[in-house]
Amino acid sequence: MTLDELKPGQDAYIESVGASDISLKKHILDMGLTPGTEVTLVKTAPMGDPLQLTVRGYELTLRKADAAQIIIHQVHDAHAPRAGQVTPDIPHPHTGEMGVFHVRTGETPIPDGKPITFALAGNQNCGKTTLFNQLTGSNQHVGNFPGVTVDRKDGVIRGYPETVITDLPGIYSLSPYTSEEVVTRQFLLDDKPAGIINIVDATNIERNLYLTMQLMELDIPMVLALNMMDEVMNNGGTIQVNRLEDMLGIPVVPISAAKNEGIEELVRHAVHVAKYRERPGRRDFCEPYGPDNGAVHRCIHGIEHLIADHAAAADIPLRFAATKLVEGDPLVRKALHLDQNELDAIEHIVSQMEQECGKERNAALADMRFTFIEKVCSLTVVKPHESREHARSAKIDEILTGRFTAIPAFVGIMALVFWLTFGVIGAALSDALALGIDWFTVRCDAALIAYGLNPVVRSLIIDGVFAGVGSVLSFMPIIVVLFFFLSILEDSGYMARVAFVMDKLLRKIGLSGRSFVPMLIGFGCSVPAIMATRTLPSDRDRKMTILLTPFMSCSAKLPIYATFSAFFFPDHAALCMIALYFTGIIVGILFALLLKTVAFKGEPVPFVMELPNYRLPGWKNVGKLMYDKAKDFVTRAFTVIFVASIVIWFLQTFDTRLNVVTDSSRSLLALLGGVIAPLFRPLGFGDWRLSTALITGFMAKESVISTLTVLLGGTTAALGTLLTPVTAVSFLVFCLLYTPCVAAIASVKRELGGRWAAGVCVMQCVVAWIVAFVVHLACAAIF
Amino acid sequence: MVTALILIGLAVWLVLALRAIRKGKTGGCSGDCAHCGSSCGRDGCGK
Repeated sequence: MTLDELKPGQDAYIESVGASDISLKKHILDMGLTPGTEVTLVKTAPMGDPLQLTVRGYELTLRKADAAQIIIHQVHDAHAPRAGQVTPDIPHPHTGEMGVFHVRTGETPIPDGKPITFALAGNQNCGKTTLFNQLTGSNQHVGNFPGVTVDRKDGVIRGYPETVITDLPGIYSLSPYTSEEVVTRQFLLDDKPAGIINIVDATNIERNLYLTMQLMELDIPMVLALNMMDEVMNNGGTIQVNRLEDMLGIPVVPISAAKNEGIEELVRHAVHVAKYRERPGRRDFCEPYGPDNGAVHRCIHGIEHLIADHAAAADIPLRFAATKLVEGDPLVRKALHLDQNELDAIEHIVSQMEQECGKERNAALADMRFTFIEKVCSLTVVKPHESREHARSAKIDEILTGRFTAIPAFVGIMALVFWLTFGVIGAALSDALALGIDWFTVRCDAALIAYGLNPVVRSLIIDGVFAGVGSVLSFMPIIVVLFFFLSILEDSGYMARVAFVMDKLLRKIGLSGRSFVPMLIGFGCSVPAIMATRTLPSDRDRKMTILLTPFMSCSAKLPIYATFSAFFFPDHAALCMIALYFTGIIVGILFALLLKTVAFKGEPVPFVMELPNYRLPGWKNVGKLMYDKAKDFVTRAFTVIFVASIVIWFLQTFDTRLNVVTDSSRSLLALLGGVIAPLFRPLGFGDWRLSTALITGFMAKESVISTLTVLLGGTTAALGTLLTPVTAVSFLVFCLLYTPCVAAIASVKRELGGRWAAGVCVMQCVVAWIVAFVVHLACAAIF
Repeated sequence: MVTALILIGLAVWLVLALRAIRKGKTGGCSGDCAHCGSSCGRDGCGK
């Protein structure tokens, strides 16, 4: 029987893991689905795929097609996790501490004043970024790992100016199949940090310790940070920290990164082990007389003896090199420069191991590691029957990922978000701010007239700067509110559920559920959405998602929609804006189907993803985000929009001989805009002012409104002279779909290169023109 | 005098804005502020 045949609420034991793709197979094993492990099918996604499983105490998603390659046996009804028994803890081993426990013989500490470098490593969803921010505060720098599109954050630990800590990507193992994994191990092997801080989610310790063991094999001084210890304790669980420290041979420090607890102790231990080069107390986790009769143990140690000289020459830790050779890691094999005889010998050793233990090599290694982890956890971890957080998440998921309720819930939540943003909170705050700006403008104008300022200079200030910048500033509340809601959705863990629910639907257009999150972020801003595609493991998925993200209308276009909707459709403004968003989504889907058949053939990336428990958003984080967003927006208004407004004012105030014009149709701007205006006549908006506004929209989408405001004499009240409701619809559709702003294009260029960026620019304009033309014809025929 | 101050103020503002544009510090997300690019300046995204 295979895993896809299991019914919801049933348990089974895994017999073997198939999977034709080696990287998928390794990933499944690395996530804990090893032979002999008990797995529960919780539910299937509303559209029948993927599956939600519980394994080793956490939730995991897996597609049916991939589950069909996992053979199971001993199917039975699901039962509550078996609670362990409390064993008395041992005295504290004092690993990594000063005082009488610190052995000074033969030590070679890092000299005072020399930098002490750290790597911060851990799984995804373990609080790594929260810990990094607690450690470094604002002393951070963000860059890129060379050669790959993976971000790198460095910082100085607060209170320890001699330290540098690098936040590594969240990974589950040190295999060579994703750029995050490769980048992490290359950093650890090449940059040789003095110490590793391995952060582990204590509520999910079994799976997290899998990476810990591989990090320990690197033989770099290391500290284990047990995060979310407060959750474990609050749910009646316990971890014998002293015994765990003794069994692993590295300092173990319980912390709560979110509450800033235990951080100082963690740093003290980390600095100590790094400074005094105290390597992990054990790197060997295989049993010489285990259930496999020592087959894996003999295999690894045999290979170690064979490659010892090569590993030393290549400066790769011996145990790490040996286990990677068992896994068939091509990067390590290449780095060791083994000759054919040695490679053959290794293959024989590994084949012998497979024969003796009856498991395929990757499964045998994963099994060896998890056997050790289970032994450690059986002696040190008492899990609660079910954590409150997990029970709460399961209850909420009955509705948010229920078979008949998931999609309506999603549509309802997104509709609520958009309605609150455009129709209630955002709109009310925006109107209030607009009133304030208008009041200020009128007062300044009166003061300048009273002073007798030169009319041209007064026009620059009032009709140029105030009109342009002011028209955009008033939309700030809407944008901040939208980011507020998107941030809550992501922080709470709901976005992962959305990916789970949408996976089957997205596969129809050639993507996986993971692509949904960057596209959803695109409703806020295309730039972070394009950056978020870095989390997608396949290049194909990444490219396709980047090409589709511009169809998700970003918040910068909100001023355009809000202004036009309020003017032309005052009773249905919110509905109009929502319709525009859905139009963007529908056009995106159609474009995706086209891409799938023409340019991006092949299957999307496998969908193996953890579903974290629902959490209350960190309000400090949300507040910081809103402040940052508001600051960003104001900065943009006073830089890009300000310059654009002055340029527009200049071009529309003077003619070719730099005389002030009374009729703006004789201005420089009319001349420039008139060149491309004919292109838009078939769409119903061939006026030079509209085409000029669209050009400035390339700098920043908000510029469309600021430009129009300036060109229409400081107010958009005259919009009716340029457009009718029918042509306004086609103008809005064109704005919705045409080229993203220069910042988004720059992001595409950074991710995919200059040719792709130019292609996106042209492609969006072509699609926008075609769709706006069709909409114009349809609206003209109907109304 | 006031006219001169206004013009100087506008000129200074323009120069500062152009410098900010040239350096890419114009607000809006440059994508550099979050390692996973999920949203600018966020932490706790778990990655």
